[in-house]
Amino acid sequence: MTASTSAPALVVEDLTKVYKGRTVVDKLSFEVLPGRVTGFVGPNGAGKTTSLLMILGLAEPAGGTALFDGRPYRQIERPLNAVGAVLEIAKGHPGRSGRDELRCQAATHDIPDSRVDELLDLVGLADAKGRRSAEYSLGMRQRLALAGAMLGDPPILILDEPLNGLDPQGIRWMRAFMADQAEAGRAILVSSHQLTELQQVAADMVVIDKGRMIAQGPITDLVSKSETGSWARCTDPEALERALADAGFAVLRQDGDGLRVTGASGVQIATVALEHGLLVTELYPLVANLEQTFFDLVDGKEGPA
Amino acid sequence: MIRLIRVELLKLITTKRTTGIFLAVSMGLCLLISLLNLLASDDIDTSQDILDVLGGAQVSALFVVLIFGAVNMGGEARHGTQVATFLATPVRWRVIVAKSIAHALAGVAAGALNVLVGLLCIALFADAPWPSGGDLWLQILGGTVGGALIGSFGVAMGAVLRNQVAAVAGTLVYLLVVEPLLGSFIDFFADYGIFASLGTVATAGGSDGIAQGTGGIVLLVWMLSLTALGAYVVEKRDIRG
Repeated sequence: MTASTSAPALVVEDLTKVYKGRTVVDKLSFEVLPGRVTGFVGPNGAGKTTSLLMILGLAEPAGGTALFDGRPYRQIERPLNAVGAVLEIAKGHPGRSGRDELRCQAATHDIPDSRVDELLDLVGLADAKGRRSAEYSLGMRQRLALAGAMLGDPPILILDEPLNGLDPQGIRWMRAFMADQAEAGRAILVSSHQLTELQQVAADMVVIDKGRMIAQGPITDLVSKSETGSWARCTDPEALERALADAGFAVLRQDGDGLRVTGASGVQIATVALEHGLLVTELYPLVANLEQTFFDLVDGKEGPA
Repeated sequence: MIRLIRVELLKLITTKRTTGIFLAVSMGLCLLISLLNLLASDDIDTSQDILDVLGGAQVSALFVVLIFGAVNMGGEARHGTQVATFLATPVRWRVIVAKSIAHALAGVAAGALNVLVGLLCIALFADAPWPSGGDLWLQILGGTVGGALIGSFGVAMGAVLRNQVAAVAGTLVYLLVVEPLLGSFIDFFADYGIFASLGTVATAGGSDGIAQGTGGIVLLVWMLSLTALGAYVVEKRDIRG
């Protein structure tokens, strides 16, 4: 690895994509810093993969730039030495072994086969390197793709849904891998739906929805902005909702008959219920976390950052 | 570029089962057609007849080489390997050119093997006098050059038409149906179409009054034009798996 400065490893500015007259990514801007894991999250269809494809020069943006050390991906002379990428859409040839798959990539940069073997060992595929990649499990394919991304020892890794389909052991391995790489100074941009897992490893987060960025920053800052409150269920949720609203609390119906009450403690909710003769069946405080923050952001409770 | 050609050759070698099957089918087809012509026809009396048998079998067998190129280029999209390919080499036209050259080399190998198989059949089953050394060399040269050009042409078609099945079917329909149909109305296609040019280059001395070298140059122009088109299309296309 070569870069360990604090300058952003990736600068995305006003990145825009239009498909058949529809804007699917709209002036997306963010930065990815070395030594940190940046989560890239958004609901399905938010434009995450399209954004990554544009960042990696695989799709042509309608506007904007994505620069690695000042250069767009397609102008990097030895891209495997500059950026490592694992994309969900990438696959291996079903007739080629895992090792040969990596050899074909390595040969484009004159990277020796010994490096291929070293990485297969690192990702725990040394014993399976001769097997055809079609015979690999999803987890093994993810590891193989990671080894491919590491071939050129790049200062930044871009990982698209690396936790998808992994068993708990695989998730733990991947989390540790990302943490180790960030600690070694690499910048990591990781898109994932698994927010709880992401919270354990990511330092920063970029949230997009419908192609637009709705929040960006350190996860601790974003989570601390999330409104806390209490969660309640009642035998007559409509009545409790009305009573709480009349008492001046903000109430949001979630998960069927659940009530998310902002700014109210459990005691306050219980008191209101008691005054109205309502039976509360579930009551506990909500703790701010990434998942709740994400839902708050996507539900429009926060404006653009 | 040499490094990229090596990479593309490595891809062919590391999918040796597919590569081997295509080479074997091409050879088998050449063997079968040579045998059928030699055993079923009573009119093979002259050295020119021998060359015609050899040329006809080679042209048919080279269709397998064409399909090989189209399958391998279309396979990059079908199998999703194009993502890794274009991440490692973002200037995509270079990949197309390297793949084209690698398949030209594979086409040379297939063409040479086909000639060997054809000659073996002739040695075993033909009673007609052997062609002169010069004619035989021209036949061998035509078979290998034809193999090289048609292998590259297959890659070009796989680049233009991303879908693997469409690339193979579309190319075959064009060569076997559309072009002969066009040739019956427009002389240019009958003389200088892709299929006609392949027949000309793969026949010692050429065919229908067109010199073998001219057929080779025309086929080269076709191949270069379609490769340029394929490289342009791939360069502009969004890669989505």
